[in-house]
Amino acid sequence: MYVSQKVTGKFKLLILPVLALFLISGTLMAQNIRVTGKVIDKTGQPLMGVSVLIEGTRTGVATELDGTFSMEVPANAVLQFSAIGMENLKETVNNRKVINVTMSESTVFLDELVVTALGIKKEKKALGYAVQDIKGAEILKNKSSNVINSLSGKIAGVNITQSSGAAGVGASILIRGGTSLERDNQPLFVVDGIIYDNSTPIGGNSGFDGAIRTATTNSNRIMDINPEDVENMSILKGPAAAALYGSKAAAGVVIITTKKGQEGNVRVDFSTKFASSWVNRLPEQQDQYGRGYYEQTGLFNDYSTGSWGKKLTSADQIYNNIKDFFQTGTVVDNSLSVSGGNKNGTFYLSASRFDQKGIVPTTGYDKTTVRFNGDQKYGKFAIGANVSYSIANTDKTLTSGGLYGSGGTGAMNSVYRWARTEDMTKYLNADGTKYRMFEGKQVLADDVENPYWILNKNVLNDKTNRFTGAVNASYKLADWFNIDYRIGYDNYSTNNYTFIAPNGAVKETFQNGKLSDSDYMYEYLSSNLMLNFHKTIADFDLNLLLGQSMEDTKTRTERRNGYNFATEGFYSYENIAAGDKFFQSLASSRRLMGVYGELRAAYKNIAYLTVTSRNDWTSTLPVANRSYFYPSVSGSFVFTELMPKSDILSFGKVRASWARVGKDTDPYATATTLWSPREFLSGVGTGNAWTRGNPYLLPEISESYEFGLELRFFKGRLGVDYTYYNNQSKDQITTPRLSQTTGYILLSTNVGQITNKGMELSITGKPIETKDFSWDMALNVAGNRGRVSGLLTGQNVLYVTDVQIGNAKAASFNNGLFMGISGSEWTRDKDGNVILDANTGMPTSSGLTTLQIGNREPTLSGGFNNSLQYKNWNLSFLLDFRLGGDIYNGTDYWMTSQGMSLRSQDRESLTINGVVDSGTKDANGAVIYSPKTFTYEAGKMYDIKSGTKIIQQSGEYLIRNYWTSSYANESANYMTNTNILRLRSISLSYNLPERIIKRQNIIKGASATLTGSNLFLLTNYKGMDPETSAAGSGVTGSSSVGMDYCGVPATAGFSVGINLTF
Amino acid sequence: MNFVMKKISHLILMVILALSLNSCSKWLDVNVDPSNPTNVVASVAARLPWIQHAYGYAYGSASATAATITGHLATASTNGAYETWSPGTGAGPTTPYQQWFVDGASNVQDLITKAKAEQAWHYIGAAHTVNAMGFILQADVYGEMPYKEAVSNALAPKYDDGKTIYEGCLEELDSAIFFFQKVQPATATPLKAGDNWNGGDVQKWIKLCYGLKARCYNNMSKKSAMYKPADILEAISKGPQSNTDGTVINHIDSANDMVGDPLIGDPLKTSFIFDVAAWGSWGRIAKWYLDLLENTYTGGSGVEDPRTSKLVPSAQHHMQVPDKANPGQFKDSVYFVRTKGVDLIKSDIKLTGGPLAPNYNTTTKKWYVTTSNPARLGDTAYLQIRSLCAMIAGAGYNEVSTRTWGDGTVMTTGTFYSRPDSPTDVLTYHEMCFIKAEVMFRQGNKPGALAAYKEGVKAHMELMNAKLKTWAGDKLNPDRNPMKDSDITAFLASPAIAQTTTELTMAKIMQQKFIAMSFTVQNWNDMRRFNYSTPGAFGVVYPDFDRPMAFSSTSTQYFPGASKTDENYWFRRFKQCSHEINYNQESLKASNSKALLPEIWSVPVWWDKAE
Repeated sequence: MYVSQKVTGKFKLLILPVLALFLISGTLMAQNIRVTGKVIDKTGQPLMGVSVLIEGTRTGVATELDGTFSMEVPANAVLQFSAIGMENLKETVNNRKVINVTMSESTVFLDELVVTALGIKKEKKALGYAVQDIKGAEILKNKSSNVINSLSGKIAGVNITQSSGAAGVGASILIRGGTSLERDNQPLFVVDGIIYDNSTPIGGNSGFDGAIRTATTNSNRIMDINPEDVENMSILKGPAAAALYGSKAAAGVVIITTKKGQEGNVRVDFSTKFASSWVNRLPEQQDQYGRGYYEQTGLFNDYSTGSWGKKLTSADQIYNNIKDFFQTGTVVDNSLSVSGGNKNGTFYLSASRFDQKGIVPTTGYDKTTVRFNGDQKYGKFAIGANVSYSIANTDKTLTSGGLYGSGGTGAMNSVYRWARTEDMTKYLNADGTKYRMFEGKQVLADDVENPYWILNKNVLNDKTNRFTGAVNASYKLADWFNIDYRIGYDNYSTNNYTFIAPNGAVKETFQNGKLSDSDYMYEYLSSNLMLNFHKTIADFDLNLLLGQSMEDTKTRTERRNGYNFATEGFYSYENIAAGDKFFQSLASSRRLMGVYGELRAAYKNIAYLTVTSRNDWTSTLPVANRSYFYPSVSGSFVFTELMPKSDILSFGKVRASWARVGKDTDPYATATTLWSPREFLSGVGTGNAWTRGNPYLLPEISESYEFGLELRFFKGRLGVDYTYYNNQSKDQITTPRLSQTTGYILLSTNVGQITNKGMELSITGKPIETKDFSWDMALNVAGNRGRVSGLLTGQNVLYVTDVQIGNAKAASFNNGLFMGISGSEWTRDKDGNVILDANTGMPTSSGLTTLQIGNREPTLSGGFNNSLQYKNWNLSFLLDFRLGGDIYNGTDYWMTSQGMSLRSQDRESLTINGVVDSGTKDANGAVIYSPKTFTYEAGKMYDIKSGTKIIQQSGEYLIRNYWTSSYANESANYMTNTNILRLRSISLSYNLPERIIKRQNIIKGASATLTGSNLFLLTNYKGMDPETSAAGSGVTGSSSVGMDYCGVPATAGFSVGINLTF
Repeated sequence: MNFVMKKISHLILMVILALSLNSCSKWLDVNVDPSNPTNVVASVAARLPWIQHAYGYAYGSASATAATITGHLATASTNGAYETWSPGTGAGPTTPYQQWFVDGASNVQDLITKAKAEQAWHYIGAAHTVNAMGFILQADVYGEMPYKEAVSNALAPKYDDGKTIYEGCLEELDSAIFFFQKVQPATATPLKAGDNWNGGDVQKWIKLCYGLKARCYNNMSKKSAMYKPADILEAISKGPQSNTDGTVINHIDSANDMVGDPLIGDPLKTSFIFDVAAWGSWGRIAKWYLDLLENTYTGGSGVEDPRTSKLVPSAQHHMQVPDKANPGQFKDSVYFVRTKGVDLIKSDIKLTGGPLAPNYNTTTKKWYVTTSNPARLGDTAYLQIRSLCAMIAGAGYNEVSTRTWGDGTVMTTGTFYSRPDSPTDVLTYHEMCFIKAEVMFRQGNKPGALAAYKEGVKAHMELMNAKLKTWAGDKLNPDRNPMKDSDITAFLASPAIAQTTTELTMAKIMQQKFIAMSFTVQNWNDMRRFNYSTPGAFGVVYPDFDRPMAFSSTSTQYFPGASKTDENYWFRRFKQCSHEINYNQESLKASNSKALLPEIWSVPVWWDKAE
C-alpha cells in the first residue's frame, strides 16, 4: 500500500494540468505530386543525408549520396531542408516538380540536434547539460572491433582504456570518474532504445575451477556490435543528462543509434579492410647475465629459472625470447549492407565478419554479425523493429598467475621471465615428450611452464552467441499527442572453456589433464511506454513526457570441471570418473520498475527549462527501501539572442543543471547465505558464507550539478564549450573488508562517498576553408578529481581487484584518492633519509603495504582531432594526450625479481646511501641517525653481522637481495608519473570523384582508406604501452587501470580498407 | 474528439497505475537467492561439525606456528620467520584468527538460536564449549581480542583484555555444563547427529568442559590472586579419568576427501596438524625437541624414548650388500635413518641457507641435495615431516599417506601427529595428569606429583599405542606400527623418568608434558608460564632452550630484552593479523599501547604477566 499511495499522489500532480492543456488536433491533406531535386552546398558538392520534410508533418526523406531526393508531396506544401551544420531552408512547392536548392553553412548550428535520454532528439542549444555525439563516419575512421575504442581521445571527459593488445580484449570506459566504489562504473549502453549489456563476464572462478581473475583477457560485451552498423553515438556524461534512465545511468549513458534505410533506391554498401599489427613496445630487458644465481657463499648455482647468473661472454648464445615470441597480428574485416525504403517504410540489413589473428601465437578473435532494422508506417501508426545476432569467439592465453592453487604459471608471465640463455621455443624433446629445464631435480608441479607448452597444449577460449531484438510502435493520436511503446530483448550466452593438457606444471591432481568450462546466460527483457504531449502557446513551446518502464534481468551460470582422463589422449567429461567431476549452478534475477516524467519549456530561442522526475522500485533492495525518487532540473539561456547580431560572437549560451540519481544494488545482498554443504568426519555440515547480508541497505544516491558555457565565434568557425561539474555519490553500497572479528570478511553496507569534480573544454575550429581545401579540428581537454570519504572507521583502504604486484595494489583511500595505488615505503628519518639496516645496509621498511603511494587518475587528458580535406582526399589524424597520473610498472617489478629487467642489469656494484641507527638517543628519547654509505661489489665477500655471528656474504648475493627484496619495498620505485602524447590514428582516404562515378551505373560511390594506428608514442613511461589494465575491463570500482602487469603488449598497426556503394 | 482523447489518455494511465499498484509489489519479490540457502535454515546437526572443524583448524594452525617458536619444528631454508625470531614488522598470523571468527564464531549464535527453537540443549552446550575454546585460543596467542563485541552488529568491534575473555569463557563453560546436564526432549536432534568429537557422548563433553576449566585455571599460575590449586584439582577430578574419557578427534585419510573448506581449501577429514604442517615440504624436526625424546639434552639420561621413532620421521636408504645366495654378487638392502634435528639454537644453519630440501636419485638410489655449497651437502639428514592425502595426490589416491620417491623408496615416514589420519588430542587424560603433577609439585605434594607425572607418561604412551595398533601391519612405513609393550615398561622404569620424589623436578614434568602434548598451543603456554629457560622458583624448567642463533639485530626490535630475566627477551604472543591492522586499527590501538609496535611480539598476554 505504501507503494501505491506514492504513485497515485505523483500522477495526480502531473496529469491534471496535462489534460487541461492539450485539446487540439487535426491535419488536412491536399492533392499530391512527385517532386525530385538535388541539394548542393555553395561549393557545388552534393549534400547527402539532408532531411527534406513537408512542413508541419513528420513526412520526409533524406538526400542520397549524390544529393538527390524524390518524394510525393502535396502540391501546395512547403519543403523544409535541414542538415546539421547547415542553415535551414524552406521552399514552397507551388506545383513545381523539380526543386534544386543550395544550402549554406549554418553560422551557429542553431538547429543542431543531439540524441538525449530515451532517444529523444533535442536541439543542442536547449540543453542544460553537456552531451557530445559522434557520427558513424568518425567512428569508422579508426575502426576497431570494439566501438568504444573509437571514442578514445574524441570526447572530453571520457576515458577509454584498452586492457592490452590481446585479440578480443575488452576496454573500459569511464565518464567523469567513477561513481561507485565497488560496483560497475561503466556507463549504461543503450542501443536503439534498448539497454544493452556491456559487462565483462569473467569465465573462471577461483573457488570452483581455479582460474583466477587476472589470468586472462576478457571481452566487454559491447564488442558484439558491428561498428559499421552505427549511425551515431551520443554520450550523456552526467546524471542530469541521464536522469530519465534511472538507476543504471549514474555513471553516464552511451546511446548508440544504428543505421536505417533511406527512402529511394535500394542501396548496397560493401566495405573490406585488411589490417596488420605488431607489438608497439616491449619491456626493456638486460642482455648481460645468464640463468642461475650466486649463493650467499659466492658459489654459483644454476638450479634457478631466474637470471642472476654468470656474466655472459661473446661465446654465449643469447636468445631474443620475448621479441621472437610475438607474431604479426592480422585482421580481415568484411561488411555488407543493403538498405532502402519507400515513403512508408525503410529497411537496413547488414552482415559482417571480422577475423583477427593475435600477436600471441595461437590466439585470435572472430565475430560474425547480422542485423536487420526496419520500420513501416500505416497512417498514424508506425512500427519498427531492430534485430541483431552475433557470434564471437576468442582463443586466448593465460597472462599471469595461472591457475589458483594449481602451481601453474601464465604464458605471458613466463615469457617475461625466460632467461636469455635458454631457448624458449624448446618445449618438447626430440622424441616429442615434454622438455623440462630441471628434469629429475624437482617435481613437475614446481616447474615454470614453458609458454609454448601452454599455447600449444592447453586450450583457453570463449564463445558468445547474442541475440538482441526490439519492437517499437508509435501512434499519433493528435498533432500534440503521440504514444510510443517499445519492448526490448537482449540475450546472450558465453561459454568459457579451459583445457589443461596432461603433464602440465600444475598441481598433482591436474597432472593427468583437466577440463573446465562455464556457461553464462544473460537475459534481459524491457518494456517502455511513453506518452508525448507537445503544445505551443504564444512564445512558449511546451513538451510533456510521461512514461513507465519495466525491466527484468535474469542470469544463470553453469560451471563444470573435471580431471584425470581415464583413456589417454581423449579429453571429454565422459572420459572422467564420476568422483572427479564437479558442477555448479547459479541463478539470479532482478527486476526494476520506473515511472517518469519530463516537462520541457522553451521561450522563443532564448531560454529553455527541463524538469524531470523518476521513481524506481527495485527488487534488489529491502522491501522498505525499494522505492526511491529522484528529480532533475536543467536550463539554458542563449544570451546572444538578446544582443545585437555580431560577426565575432555569433552565439553564446550558458547552461546549468542539477540532478539526483538513485542506484540499487546487486541481487541477494540483503541476506547472509550458507556455504554449499560439505562432508565432515560424520555428517554433512554447512556454515555462514563470509559475506554478511544486510537487510537495511539503502539505494546509492548521486547528486550532481554542472555549469557550462558555449560560445561560437566568426559564424561558427571557432567554437568553445566549457563545463564544470561536481558529482557526489553518497551512501555507496560497498562490500568492504571488515575486521573478521565481526565473523565475516565482507559486508554489504551503505558507506562512503565519492566526489568527482572536473572541467571539460572543447574547442572546435575550421582554420582554413576554401573551395578545394578545408581543415576541421577539435581539441578537447578534461581533468577529473575523484576523492573518497566517509568509509568505515579504521578502514582506510578499499581494494576491488586481486591484482597485487609486489606490494602495490589498485586501491581507493578513505579521505583520499579514488584511483589510488597502495604500497609500501622505505622508512625514513625526519629529514627524509632512508634508514638502512645497520648490518646489511639494506633499506628498511615498516612492512605496511597500505600506504597511499600514487594516483592513477591523470591530471589532464584529451585529444586533438583533425580532418584535412583537399578535393577528394581526406587526411585525418587524432593525437591524444595525458598529463600526469601514476602507472605502476608491475612487469618491471616481476622482471627485476627474476633478474631480467634492464635496471637489474646494474649488478656489478651497489652503493646504498642512507642513515643508520647511531645507537644514541636525543633528549626526547628519539633515535639519532647517522649517515652511512654501503658499497657492495660482485666478486667480493663481506662480513655481515647476522644474529650473534658474522657471516660471510658474497657481493652478488647482497646485490641480488637488494633488487629482489629491499628495492621493491619502496613500491614507488616502479611507479611513473606518466605523460603521454600518442598519434592514436592517422588515416588517408580518397573518394572516387563524382565525374568518374557518373560514367557508369553500377557503383554509386567508392572510397579507399589507409589508416595507421598507434604509430607514434612519446612518453616518459619506460615499460610497455602505458595504456593497460592488468585485470581487464571487468573490474568494478576504481578498476585496475594504470596497473601494468605482464599483459599482452599493446599494438601498432596499419590497415587498408575499401568502401563501395552500389 | 477531445472527449475520446481524454478517455484514451485516461485508459493508458489506468493501465500504468494498475501495473504499478497491484502487481508491482509481487512482481518485485524476487530477491531470494534461488541457488544458496540463507543462514536461518541450517540445521543444528549441520552447524556443529562446521564449527568444530573451524576451531580445530584454528588451533592446529596456531599450534604449528607455536611449534616453530618452542623448538619443536624447524623449517626449510626459505621459511623461518618465527623460528629465527624475526616475525617481521608487518602483521602476525592470520589463520588462527580467520578460521575461528569467520568459519567458527559467525555460526555460534545461529546454532544456538536454532537449537533453542527445538530445545536441543546439548547443541547449546556444545556451542558454548567450542565458543569458549575458540576465544581462549585467541587470548592465549594474540593477547587481546574482541570478545563481547565480536560477531555482533559492531563493524569495528572493540577489544577485550585477556582477563575478560578468560572470565567470560569460564562462564560459558559453566553454562555449557548446565545445558549438557539438561534432558533433551525426544523431538530434539540428538547430539550424536552432528558431533564429530565425542559421538554425542554428553558425559565426555562434560568432562571436556571440566578439563578445559582445569587448563584455564592452571594457565593463571602467574596470577597470585587467581591461581587456586584446589579449584584446579577439583576440576581435574571431574575431567577425564582415563584415556577413553578424553576428547580425541579420529581423523581419516580418505580418497573421497576432495572438497575443501571454503577459506583455506584443505580437506575436511584429515588431521589439522597434517593440513598446516605436513602438507607442504617446509617442516623439519628441531634438535631441541629431538633431544627431549632422546634425552640427550644437558644432563639428560641418554635413554631413548620409545616414542622417538613415532614422533620424528625417518627415511629409507639403500645399501649394496654381498648376496650370500650368489657369492661375489651384491644385492640391494634397505634401512631406515632417522632425521637429524635442526639445531636452531646453537648452529648457524639458518644463517647459511639451510636446511635445503633432501633429494633422491632413483637411478643411483642415492640421496643428494641440489647445491654447490659444501656446507649444505649434508642437508639430506634433515627430513621433511610431510605426508600425502587425496587432494595432493590427485584422483585415484590409494590412501597410502606415506611419501615415497618414484622407485617406492620412503621419502619420509612422517610423524604420529602429522599424518592425514593422525588423531587430534582436543583434551586428554594425560594432560590432566600433568596439570595435576604441576599443581601438586607446587603444593609440595611430591608423592602425589610423582604419581600423576608417571601416570601421565604412561597414559600418553598407551594412548599413542592404541592408535598405532590400528595402523599396525603397515609394511611400507615402520613408524606406523605399535611400540613394544616391553619397551614402554622398560622406559618407564629407566633413568629417563623420575622414579623418586627427589629425582622429580618441574623440568622433568614439563619435559614429559611437552612430548605428550606435541603440536599444541598449550606447550607454548607452558613455556611462557615458566619463562622458557629463565631460572625461576623451579630452576630452569626448559633446559638448553634459548633464542636462536639466527636471532639478529633486526630481531631485537621484536624482542628487545637483553637478558633472560627481561620478560620481553622472549616470544610472548602473536601480533594481530593484517585484517585487524588494516580494518580495525582504532580499536586495535586502544587495546594495547604497543599493539602496532614491533615489540608487541614480546609483550606478555594477560595470564603471562606476573602479579
